[in-house]
Amino acid sequence: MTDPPRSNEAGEGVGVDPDRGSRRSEPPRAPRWVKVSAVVVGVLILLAVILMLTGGHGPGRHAGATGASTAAVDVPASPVSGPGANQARDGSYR
Amino acid sequence: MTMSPRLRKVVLTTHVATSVGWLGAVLAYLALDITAVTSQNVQTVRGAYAAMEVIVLYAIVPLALASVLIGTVNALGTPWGLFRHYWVLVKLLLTVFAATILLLETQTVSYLAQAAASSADPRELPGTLLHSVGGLVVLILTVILSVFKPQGVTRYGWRKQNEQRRNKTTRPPVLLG
Repeated sequence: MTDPPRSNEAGEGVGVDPDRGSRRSEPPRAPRWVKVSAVVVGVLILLAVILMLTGGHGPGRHAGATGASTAAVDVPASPVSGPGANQARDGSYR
Repeated sequence: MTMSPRLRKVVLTTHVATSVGWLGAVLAYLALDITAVTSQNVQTVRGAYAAMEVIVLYAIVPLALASVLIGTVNALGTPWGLFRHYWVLVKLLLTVFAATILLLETQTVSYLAQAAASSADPRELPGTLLHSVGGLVVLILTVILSVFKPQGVTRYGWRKQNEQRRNKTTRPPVLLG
C-alpha cells in the first residue's frame, strides 16, 4: 500500500469499459485472479476438512499422538507419524 | 477518513516493519522447526522446541497482531480502503486467517516445548512443519499482493467510486484569482 490507487484504472472489473472509456452502469465482475484464488482456497479448505475428519490433522493431533497431558508429559508410547517426524532410535541420548 | 501524508507515512512504515518482521520471525521459526524434526541430537531437538516457543510467544504473535491492526488502520486511512479493492480484501482475509491459525497453534507449540523438555526422547515429537510452511506461503502471497496490487474493484468500491464522481460533478466550481 505504498502507492495511491491508479486513477486511470481500466479493464476487467474496474467499472470502466476499456473500449469506450465510458462508465459502466452495472457493477464490475470479479477479476479472473480472484476467481482462480477462490477455487484454490476452496480446494485447500476441503482438503483440510477431510484431513481433520480422518484424524490426520487438527488441534488435538499432537496431544493425542503422544498420549500425554500438559501436566505430566511422558515419553510417547509409539513413534508419531507426522510431517518429517523423527523416528525413535532406541530412546537413547546422543 | 484520510490521514495526512506525514501520518500516513508513519503508519505505512510501521505496517511494513511489522509485516516484514512477521515474515522474518516465521523464517527463523521454520529453521528451528526443520531442526526439531530432522536432528538426531536430543539436546538440539529439545533446544529447538524451546526456542520455537519463545519465538512464537514473543515475536511472531505480537508482530502478527500488530501487522493486522496497523494494516487495517493503514487501509482505512488511505483512498485504498479496506473493502474497495480485491487485492486489499484478499490480503486482509489472508492475514486474519494466518493470525487466527497462529493463535490456535500457539498452544500446540507450548505443549511441544513442554513435552520436549520433559520427555526422554523429544525426537519422536511431530513438529509443526505443515503450519510453519503454510504460514510462510501465506505471508509471501501477501507480499506479492502488496507489491503487484492486481486490478479489480469490489461492488462496494465501485459504488464508492460512483458516489465520489457524482460529488465531484455536482460540487460548484471554485473561483480562482
